[in-house]
Amino acid sequence: MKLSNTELKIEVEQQRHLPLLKFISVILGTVFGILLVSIGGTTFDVMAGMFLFENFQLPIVLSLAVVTGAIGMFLVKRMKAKSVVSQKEITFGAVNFSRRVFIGALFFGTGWALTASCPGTAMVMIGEGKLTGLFVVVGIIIGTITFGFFNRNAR
Amino acid sequence: MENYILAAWLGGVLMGIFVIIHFVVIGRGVGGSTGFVCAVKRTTQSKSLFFGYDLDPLKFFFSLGLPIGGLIHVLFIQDGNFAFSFDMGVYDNVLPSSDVLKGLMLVAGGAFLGIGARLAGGCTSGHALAGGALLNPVSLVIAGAFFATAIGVAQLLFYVF
Repeated sequence: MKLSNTELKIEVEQQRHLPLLKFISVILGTVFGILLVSIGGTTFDVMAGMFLFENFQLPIVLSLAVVTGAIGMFLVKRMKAKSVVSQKEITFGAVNFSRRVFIGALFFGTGWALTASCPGTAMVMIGEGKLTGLFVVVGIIIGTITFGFFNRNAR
Repeated sequence: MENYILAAWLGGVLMGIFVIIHFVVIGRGVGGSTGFVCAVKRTTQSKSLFFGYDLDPLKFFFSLGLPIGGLIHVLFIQDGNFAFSFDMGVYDNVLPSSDVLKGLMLVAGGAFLGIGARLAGGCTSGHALAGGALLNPVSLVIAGAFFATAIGVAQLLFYVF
């Protein structure tokens, strides 16, 4: 897919500051990891409680996170409406809902329910000493490679 | 619930603030699954796997930070007693009691997560948190599908099997 001029420019910008951005990314990941544990995202009983409608901790957290995030992003876009910086706020590779995506959601939801983890929380669990996270991560890598293998002619 | 878990309203607001910070600093949404694609590309050095894939290389470093966060939480916010465990709380009541089978199920579940995240274009963080903050309707539908499926499978797991 050909990148637009704006995206190319941002890529170049990123390249220049890459070492710093890598370090910042690790810091951000660390903070997110701490947050995930703090909300109960890595606690099996909280996860099970959410799926079984017994514990509403995570649904409330997620709903409020979306509301807060939406308000914040709205303000951010407004404040920087005209500057170049606003072009930094690219939406991630926009996905269209399709049968493939739907099947993906079925796979993901199944894995989520079976392991009580997602790709993010599984990594955090490893840091907590929860070895289950390690097995899940191995599985995620296998799944990712499998997808890559079957899609290698896609683009 | 453990006593280190934040009140839901506070956790939610902090998460939302984090999503905004991530957008402003990195210029993209938060996400936990892309890091694995980066890892696969780096280690396999394959020219064909994920060729031309729209990839954010920084996600790899973000994913590296996640377990560090977990460790810091255990050491400094919890009681500081780091210990390896294979315990899964109430899940141990429904998963195979044999450690080998349990491990296999976890790997299989992980594979489902990996394939699903790629097919759906992201994980819960990417769609629910980042996509949600952008009020991206497709992301919210996908997140909803994640939840609905997980809830359905969990019902089967806990109540039927």
